[in-house]
Formats: sequence, structure tokens, C-alpha cells
Amino acid sequence: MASKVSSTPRTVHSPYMIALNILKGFILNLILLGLSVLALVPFWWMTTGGFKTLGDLFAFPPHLWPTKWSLDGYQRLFRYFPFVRNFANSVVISGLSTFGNLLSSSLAAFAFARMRFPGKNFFFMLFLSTLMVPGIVYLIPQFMIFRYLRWINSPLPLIVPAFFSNAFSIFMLRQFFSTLPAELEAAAKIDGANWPRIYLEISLPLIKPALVTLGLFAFMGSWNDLLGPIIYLSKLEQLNLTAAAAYLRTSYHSGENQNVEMAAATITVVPVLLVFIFAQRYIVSSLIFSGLKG
Amino acid sequence: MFRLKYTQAEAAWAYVFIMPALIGFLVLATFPILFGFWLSLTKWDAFTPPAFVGWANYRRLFTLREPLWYGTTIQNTLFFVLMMPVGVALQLSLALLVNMKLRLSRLFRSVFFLPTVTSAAVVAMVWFWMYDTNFGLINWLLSWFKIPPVPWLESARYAKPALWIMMNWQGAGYGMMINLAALQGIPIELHEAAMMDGAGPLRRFFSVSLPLLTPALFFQLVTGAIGAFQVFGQVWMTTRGGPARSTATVVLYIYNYAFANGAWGFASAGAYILALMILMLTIVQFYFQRRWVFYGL
Repeated sequence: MASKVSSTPRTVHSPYMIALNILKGFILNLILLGLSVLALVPFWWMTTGGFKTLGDLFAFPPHLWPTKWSLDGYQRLFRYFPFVRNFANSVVISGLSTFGNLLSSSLAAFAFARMRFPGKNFFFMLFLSTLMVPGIVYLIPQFMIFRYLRWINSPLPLIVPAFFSNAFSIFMLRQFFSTLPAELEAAAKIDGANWPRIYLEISLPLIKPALVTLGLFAFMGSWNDLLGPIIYLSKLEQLNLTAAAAYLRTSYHSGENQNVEMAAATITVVPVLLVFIFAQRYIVSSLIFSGLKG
Repeated sequence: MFRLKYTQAEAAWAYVFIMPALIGFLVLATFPILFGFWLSLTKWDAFTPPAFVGWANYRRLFTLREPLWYGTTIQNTLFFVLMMPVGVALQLSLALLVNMKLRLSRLFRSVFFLPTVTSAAVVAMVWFWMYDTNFGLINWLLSWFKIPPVPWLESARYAKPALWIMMNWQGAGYGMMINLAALQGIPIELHEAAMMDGAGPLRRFFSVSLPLLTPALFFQLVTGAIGAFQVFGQVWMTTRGGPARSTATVVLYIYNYAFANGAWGFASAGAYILALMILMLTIVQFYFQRRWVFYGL
């Protein structure tokens, strides 16, 4: 726990100041530790909750550590609910929509950052303007479009729109493409490479950290989506994990399912947490790069 | 315009590259906006053809013929919007804490960011049980301080603050990251110069950091307000707008009218009024930004 605060150029080195700094560091660490506990307690409650017996769940004071580790919640979850199927749905829906988003948005972003064509700024502002429109405006008319196409009760409304890009992704990726040196393209052009090749073989590999970050956000957005699935899908075995977990919560409104709910919540949350932990190196640096200077 | 030289091939490829985005813009954005507006002028059950009713849906929403809309729905939504700056202040404090040069500050950043990546719906599921009046974790913690059990989600008085706490627990990490990025963008020389002049940490925060953070804070207030107007998932998962409609939000109202009651035209009008409210607040925010947002550097 011992640590020090080195507030930029230190001018005074008296023992008194050093002691004060150590004390300050100790108090700061204590505060941050307390806040970390606050941030983590719900995760602890969720993870242990899935392994608790109903007796443990309905005890006061609550048991922070299960008195008996039980698989009852997980067993009932997999026996009565198609949760394996829901997991597969989530993987397919989130995987495909993330791929579509990255592909279509990076193509457009590349054109806006590296190519010259008439109407470039006009189209860019046009796409950006959609960020100003709140999502609720699209909800009903888009539902009607997909209803007309007879796509209701299929995962298509949750996947296909991603292949037509997303204004936020275009904006972010354009920032990253813009930082690449022009000489790379010039050299490739002299070697006779056409634009698709420059995009695919030269520029795209260079913005990998941005693609990882944006891909993660797109993946999370789709994986954690509730409104989309509950609007477009009506059968339990079609739902993604998040909506299936929500279905447990809202349709079986009874305490007897608390450990089932916590098991479902754990299964839904853990994959995203793992992806985040593996990708966080990229995320933090990209977030700080993109910052708010644009 | 001589600078903008491009070859035919370059322009042609560029249009190919932006084609998916352009189709998306036309089919999934422009058309829905126009179609939705037209729907808001009709009465439609989605089975029989829509009947054009002019501004009747809007009149119904604007006059007092829809007491639920006025009485609680808008008030609740405004609660989340007005409380949003408090959340931003908390996020800024968090960013200041993790910006200190401590050995574990990277770890703390990741820990605070974890709730952000989880699903709001799943978070609500977990908090629902933590808020339980009789067996919940939170009332147990309060009982240490001799506070009697609080009926968090079961009373009209506590349900809104309970949801607000839950949403801020989840959102804190994202705001922290944005403020942290802004804090790290402040040139160190400015702090050094202020220290030379004898400014203490507090003075340096208010006279150096805070003015330079205002663009980031402005961004957070604008996007935060847009988000706060559209609270849905957390409410849908926990209280469904209750008790006594104390947590019914505009989006929940629109959802219920459209997908539960089949009043598509009326719900569309609600969506447009919400969009208008958001637009107005955004304009007001942009109008007042020159009073306090500093773009000097």
C-alpha cells in the first residue's frame, strides 16, 4: 500500500514534506480502494449469487460467501431455458454485426480520410448529422420497414443494418486513417496498386488498435442490446443472451429464480468482461488518442 | 478548387467505398425520419391502412388530454436529465483521482471501467436483488449505520434515486475515461508555470485544469442529456415504470403505446416530441457554451 505522490517538479525535500506525501498517497490509495470495492461488489454479488442455494439468498444478514456452493441455479437454467442456443445467437448476431460495422464503416472512413472526390465534405457532414438524431425517432419506422420485409422473428434486423455502416464508427476511423503518412499510398500507387488494395493491404493493418477498440464497442453494443431483440424477436430460443436474461427477470417474477437469474447474468457478462480485459491495452490508448480534439 | 485534383478512377472508387454508408443513410436514416413523421400524423393500428388525422396526435400530447404523459412521464425524464450533471461531476472527480501518479492507478482505471462494458439490463437484474427491501445487500450495509430498511424499488419516493445510483455506478467509468483523456491533454508546462507562481493544487485545478476541461465537460453534458432523455432498459428491467408511475420515462411510454397498445401514430408523435425536446436542449446548450466553454488552446 505504500506509495508516493510525485506531484510534478518537487521543490521541497524536507522530511516533513516527504512524510506528508506518503500520508497523502496512503489516503488516496485508501479512497481508490474503497471505490474499487464499490465498483466490484455487484459483480461479486452476481457471481456468488449463481452458486448460492435459495436458503442463502433469502437470509438476512446476507451471506457474502455462500455457506454451501450449489449448482442448482445453473442446472435449472440449462434444464428449463435454451441458454446454449441463446449464447450461440449472441455470438452469431454480435459477431456478424461487428464485422459488418467495421467493414462498411472503415471503407467509408478510408474514402473520407485518404481519397479525393466531389462532394466529399457534403457527404461527410450528411453522415455526421445522423448522430444528432436521437435513436427513438428511428425505432418505429425501422420496425415498420423490417415488418414490411417480413424480417420480424428473424435476427436479420439486428445484423443487416450494421453492414450499412454507422456514423460514429466512420467518424472515429476517419480520425485514425487521417494520421497515416501519405508517402505509403504514393509508393503503393507507383507500384501499380489500386485503391481497394491500398485500403486492404496498407491502410487497414496500420489502424488495427482503432479497429480493435471500435470492434469491441460494436460487439458490446450488440451483445448488450435489449431493445432490439425484444422488439424484433418473440420466441425465447431466438433471443440473444441479454434479452434471454431479461426474459427470466421479467417473466418469472419470483424469488425462487434468483440464483437462476444470477447464473444467467454471469454467463451474459463474463464473455464481455474477458474480451475487455484482453483488449484494454488498445482501448485506453485509442480512447485517449481520439480524445476530444476533433 | 484547383487543389482538389482527383482522377476519375479515384472518385469512382471513393463512391464505391461510401456506397454502403450512403444506402444506409437513405434507407435506414432519411426514409425512417420522413416516414416516422408522416406516421405521427396518422392513426394507425398497423393492420388496417393508416388514417390521416393531421396534428391530432400532437394536440393530444400537448394539451392536457394525456395526463400520464404530463404528470409523471415528462417529470421523471427531466429528473434523469437534471441529475445528469451531478453524475458528470462525480466522473470528473473520479478522473482526477486516477490521474494522480500512484503505482496502481492503471489497475484502478480498469476496475472503474468494468461496469461500463456490461449490459445495462443485466446490471439492473443484479441491482434489483441488491435493492431488495428485506434481503438486499444495500439495506444490510445501511443497517450498520442503524438505518431502517429502505423500500428502494417499491416506493414512489426512492425508486428514481435508486435507478439514478445504479445508472451512475455503471456509467462512471466511461465519463472517467473521457475526463482522463482531457486531463492528459493539458500541457504539463501550464501546471509548472502556475506552480512557479505559487499556485496550490486547488488553485491549479480551478484556474488551469477546469477551463481546459470545459470542452470535454460540454461534450459530456450534451451527450449525457441525449442519453438521459432516453432512459429505457434499466426501468424496463426493474420497475416497469412503477411504483405509481414514479419511474415511467418517455421512451417507456412510447414503447408501451407502440408495441403494447398498437397506437403507432400516437407513439410516433411522442417520439417526435421527445426528439424536439432533445434538440431544444442541445441548442440551448450550444447557445450558452460561449459563456463557459474555453477553446483557447
